[in-house]
Amino acid sequence: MPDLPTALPEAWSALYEAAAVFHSTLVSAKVLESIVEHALRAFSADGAAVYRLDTDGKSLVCVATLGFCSSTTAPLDDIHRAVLSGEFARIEGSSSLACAPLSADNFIGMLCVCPHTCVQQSAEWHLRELAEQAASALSHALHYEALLKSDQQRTEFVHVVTHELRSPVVGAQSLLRVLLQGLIGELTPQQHDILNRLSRRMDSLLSLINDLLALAAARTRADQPLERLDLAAVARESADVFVYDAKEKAVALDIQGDDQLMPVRATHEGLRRILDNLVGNAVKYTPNGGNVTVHITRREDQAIIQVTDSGIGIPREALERIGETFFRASNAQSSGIMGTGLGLATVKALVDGFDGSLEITSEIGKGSTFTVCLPINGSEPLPSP
Amino acid sequence: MAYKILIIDDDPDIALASRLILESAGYQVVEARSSVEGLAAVKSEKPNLIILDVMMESATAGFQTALALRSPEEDSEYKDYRTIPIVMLTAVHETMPYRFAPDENYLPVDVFLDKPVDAGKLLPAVEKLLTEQHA
Repeated sequence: MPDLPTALPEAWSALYEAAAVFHSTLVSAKVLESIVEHALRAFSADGAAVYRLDTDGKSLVCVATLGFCSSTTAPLDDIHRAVLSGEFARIEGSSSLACAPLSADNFIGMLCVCPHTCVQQSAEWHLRELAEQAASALSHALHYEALLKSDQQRTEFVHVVTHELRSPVVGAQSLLRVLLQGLIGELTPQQHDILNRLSRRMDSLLSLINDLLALAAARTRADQPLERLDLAAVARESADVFVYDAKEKAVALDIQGDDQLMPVRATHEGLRRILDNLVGNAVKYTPNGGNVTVHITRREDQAIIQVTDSGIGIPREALERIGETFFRASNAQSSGIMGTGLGLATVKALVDGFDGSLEITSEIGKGSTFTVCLPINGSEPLPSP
Repeated sequence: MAYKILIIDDDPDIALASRLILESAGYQVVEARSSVEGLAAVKSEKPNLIILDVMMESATAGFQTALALRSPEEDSEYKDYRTIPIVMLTAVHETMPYRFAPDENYLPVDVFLDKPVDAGKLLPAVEKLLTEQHA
């Protein structure tokens, strides 16, 4: 058991300070840099280095150094093996060297310092503790970087799938429409009927692909930085898109609310998708001649958007399942209205991602209200577009 | 004389559908299967309007083509063609998380149309751009 350092308070406070610095970043290169810098200073050393056991398990690779690093890779010797198995090593030679094990679930290596003078016993305790803090900070950074990488790969996968899945369907659908619109000759009623059925199936497939990809994108936001956006402005944009659909069904689509700024932190695409889904659903499930109201208001530090319809409503037992992937309420299924059961799952994922909440109230045959609350972000004006 | 429209799209089915729609309205149509072919065709065919796909050789090939055509550089090799109206056909516009243009409010095309191609959307857009161009 190594001796505790005599200058206990100083040693503890130096360690505390080191731990705070090591954990202040999640970039492994920066963590490594701060480890060698701190070790160099703490031991008034000529050099400090971090070695990592190579993936083949046969050599050590120098991954950070200040002042010295005999070579970038070194074959494992007995002393290295002893350190890697948890022992402290003091090598007294032409220059003394002290090495402590650096061990985390995703990093095996050692922290070495080359002090001016012989390594004191008290320094063993200090170096070991320092190495422990360093290992923990490195482990967090490496885990975080692995997560980022996998998130990035997932995002890239979604982009490739977007293109590969949609391309054949939109190609086929484009050609079908040319035929159906009679652009290259008249069709018999039966031909028209068959092609129409094909076109409808293509539409369903396309909306399923789009909804699946929207859900995947909502759950994968690694590369989409949040912006400050005016919720009211985005809500108006969204309502504009459905004016035509509403008019076709003689549904009165109203936007209400004061003109004050509602800055929230979100992605434009995500916010539009939330509103498009809610307003689109409201228009879709409201019978001819009904009403849809989009009400925007501010309550303390929350921007609130309520989409209320006079539609078919949601059965009580289905309310708590709304937002589950592929779930559609029984009356929505039997209505004959096309849907995939993914739209509200996407809304929920997006609202959660923007630190907001979604609440649904509904009465069968009377209508539903979807309320989204998002935290207001600051009061200063938005940058002009 | 009929207006000449250049379709730059690597998907032969989309190109055929667009061609049939445009020919049904009396336009003359030429096609290119990549942005490289497309840029060459702009010079050789001197079209009145361009219909451009986004994802071809790369995920942003169409945007790069449009940026090259619209380049404000004085010695741009496409300076004679920078006013040709461009309709961008895309299935990815909404899902692309990154910006293509040098500045986020600048888009080097006149109109975006979502795929599938539809005569009801394509023809009015083309007609409007050509009318504005030749007013």
